[in-house]
Amino acid sequence: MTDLSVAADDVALVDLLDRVIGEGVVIGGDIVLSIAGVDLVYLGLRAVLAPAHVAGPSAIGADALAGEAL
Amino acid sequence: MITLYAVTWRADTPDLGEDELGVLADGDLAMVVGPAPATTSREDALAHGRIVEEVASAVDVLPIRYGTTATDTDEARSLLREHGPAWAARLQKVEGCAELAIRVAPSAADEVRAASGAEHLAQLVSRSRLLNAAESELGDLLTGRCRVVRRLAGHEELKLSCLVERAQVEPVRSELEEWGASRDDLMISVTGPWAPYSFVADGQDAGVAL
Repeated sequence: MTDLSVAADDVALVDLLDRVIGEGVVIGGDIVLSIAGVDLVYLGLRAVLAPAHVAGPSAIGADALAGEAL
Repeated sequence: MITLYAVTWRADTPDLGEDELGVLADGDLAMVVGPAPATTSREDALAHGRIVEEVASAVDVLPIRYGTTATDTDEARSLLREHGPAWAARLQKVEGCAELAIRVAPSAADEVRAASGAEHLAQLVSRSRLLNAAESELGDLLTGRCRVVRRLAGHEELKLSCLVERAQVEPVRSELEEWGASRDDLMISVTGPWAPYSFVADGQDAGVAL
């Protein structure tokens, strides 16, 4: 049960980060989107739910960023 | 430099527990602002999100994307004035609503390592059909219960964002979880309620045909 609840928390964190970084009101002009240095963590559900020893680096590769425009 | 967090109605000006946060007002609108952090990091982004969520738990908001700053309060106020009419129209569209995030993926238990390229392709087609069918079923389930449903880009999974009236958040979540529990071949996650991040721009209120 503990593992499942931790996994659910992880999904929620990724969903929140997805939104904070990739959605929301964008203002043009002089406003700077200072996103440099932020680790982008657009993970799929299986990658988030998989145990750490299964979800190796390949789960956090370029595919995880596919289609997510910043 | 100041960070811009969210736009709200002036009449709804939130009670901010954080000392460093402030509210600027112009016309009918207000903006929650705070000092800009010196660095950007995942922790900063999450902290930004938590502040927006705290405000959104009390009043209707338009969340502003992380990293958006203004040089000073005068500039922030002029932005509020410049974009006021468009933001007011947006706030009306999300009035009383929150966002639910849905992810659906084929169950990991069904995953069998492909023995050949052809088998791998067949698995991809099978998974794609499974998710398309799931999308259709979810469309039937969500129609009439959500104000707007958007499909977001996802890799080998179905990602939907739903704009839901706050009173409907828990009933919709329960129905989705019940649907998920009946499907051994799929994993589903429902998170939120979030501020309506995915419904703040033109074209994001039309939804998608599911």
